[in-house]
Amino acid sequence: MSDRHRLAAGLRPGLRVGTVLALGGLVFLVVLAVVGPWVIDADPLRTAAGPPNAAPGTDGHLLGTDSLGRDLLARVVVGGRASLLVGLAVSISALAVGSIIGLAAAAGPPWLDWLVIRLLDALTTVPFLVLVLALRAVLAPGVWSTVLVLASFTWMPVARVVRAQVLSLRGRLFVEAAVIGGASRSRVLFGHLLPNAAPPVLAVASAVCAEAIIAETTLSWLGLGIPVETPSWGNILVDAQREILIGNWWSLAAPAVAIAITIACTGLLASQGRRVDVT
Amino acid sequence: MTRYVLGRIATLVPMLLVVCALTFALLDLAPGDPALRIATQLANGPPDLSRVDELREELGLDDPLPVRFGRWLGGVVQGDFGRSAIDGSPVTERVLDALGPTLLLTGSGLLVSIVGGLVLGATVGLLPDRGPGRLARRAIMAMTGVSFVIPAFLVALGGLWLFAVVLGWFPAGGMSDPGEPRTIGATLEHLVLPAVILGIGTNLGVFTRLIAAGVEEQMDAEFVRNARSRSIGRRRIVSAHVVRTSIIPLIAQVGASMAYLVGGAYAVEVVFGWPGLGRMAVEAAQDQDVTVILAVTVISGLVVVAGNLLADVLLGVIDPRVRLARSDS
Repeated sequence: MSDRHRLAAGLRPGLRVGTVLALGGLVFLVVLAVVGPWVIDADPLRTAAGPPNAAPGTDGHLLGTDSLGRDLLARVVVGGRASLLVGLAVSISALAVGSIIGLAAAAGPPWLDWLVIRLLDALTTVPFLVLVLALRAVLAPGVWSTVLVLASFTWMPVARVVRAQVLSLRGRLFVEAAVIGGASRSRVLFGHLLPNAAPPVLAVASAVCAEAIIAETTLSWLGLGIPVETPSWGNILVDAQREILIGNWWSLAAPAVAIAITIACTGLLASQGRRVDVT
Repeated sequence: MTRYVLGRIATLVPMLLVVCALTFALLDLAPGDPALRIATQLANGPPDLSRVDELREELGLDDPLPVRFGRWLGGVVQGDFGRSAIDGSPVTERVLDALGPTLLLTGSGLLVSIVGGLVLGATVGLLPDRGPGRLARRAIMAMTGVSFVIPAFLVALGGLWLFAVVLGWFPAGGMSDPGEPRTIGATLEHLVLPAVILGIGTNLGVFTRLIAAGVEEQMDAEFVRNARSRSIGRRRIVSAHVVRTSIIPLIAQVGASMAYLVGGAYAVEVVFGWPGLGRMAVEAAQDQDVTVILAVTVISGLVVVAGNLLADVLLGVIDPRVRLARSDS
């Protein structure tokens, strides 16, 4: 069986119920975020679109309104754009940066490996939130600066897994065969080692995506992420803390349910990917 | 044993130093001139430019980065975290005032997740995999799954709404009622809800699954069969043999998840207005108060490293194999 077949078989573990559910949920959320704003006839930013703090189900406001009378359904649907975009962009950059650093550590000179390991250990001694706050103090708020902040501190698990995978695959027969067959160093690395490391790495990237969405909502909720002019699941929650104290649970429930569904789906995908066996 | 502990310290301290250096260099890029800001504060208006230069000289802001880092590190080692970049007040006192509440919350949250994880995990591991037992297992697993799916601050917001606003069982925030002194009773009353939420929101799910897996695996182990053949009761086998052995991976996991736990505590602090380091860090980030962020980073790193070390030492005490393997390598 060639590497390529082995990989294809590994990536298609048969359609499990969990995988289908998770993918379906994510596709639903993405579609909702992309086309929803055209279908739902409400402006997420228009204040006094309805009575302030209207309960869910009040005429025309399925999920109710917030303290400024903005329609919560429209805000959650549009907010999904920013939150899902950040999650996707962060996991893609974490995947790229983590793969390069992990690969460099595994295939490079020993001192580089030593340095990378020390750096990985050091960055995991400080809570993620604190690191992010430190970088946040340096950058102006915005969607792309939030992506940059989060991507800077989420590549570590990817690098760890890539390094471990490459180190464990290096001694396999198919790699030796490629080397004996005269494949160049970069061909072995990028053509043989990296693709075969893919399934666990993709599982980690999926987990990173979930972590990025959680971090975005946390940051925006603290007023340090995406600015309020762009609705996101996090900055919808800015209101929530005040609102729940007077009993308006819906300003918390709407974005919270959206976040929970997203994390559950990406988490499920990650655990499915981990089950895939490449050998 | 001493050698083992010293070895662990020798690997953990350089890690902290790297973090300090990285954060220091990073925060050096922060916009704004602290000398100008402090001078404005002092003059209560547009300051004298010569005064700004004087201040800059005084604070040594023109020195190269490594020199400033060295000076700052020297201060930190002696317990001086410098002055706030916003109002020039000494940072050390504020950080130490916030450290107590943070440790109290983090420790209580950890305790909740450990005790909860042991009880729920042992229950899951012992329930039969058929009939109503299976249903109960599934229910507990699904419940602990919540802590994987919902971030700590959302659990906190939800808990605040349900238990403080709707049911009114607990106060809604702070460490004591406004205007009242911080007595032990009042602190405990205010601590219960955030601590339970921190425990559930961070580690309860992981710990439950870890213990459940350990118990299930060990119920078939030889030492359990041996105990059974000596007609030792089921309850005693579980509490004295099975759970005790399953605690080893739990302690390792506690050490590994320290950073995650402290981060979760910071988010919970903001929700509940708990006067700890997390709330301080968020306010500092909003004000771009570089010195305070640096101080919180160092202290958080220290707390995490101390927790790691404690877990490692505990592991070494309980399980000699760990101690021997690590001091050999």
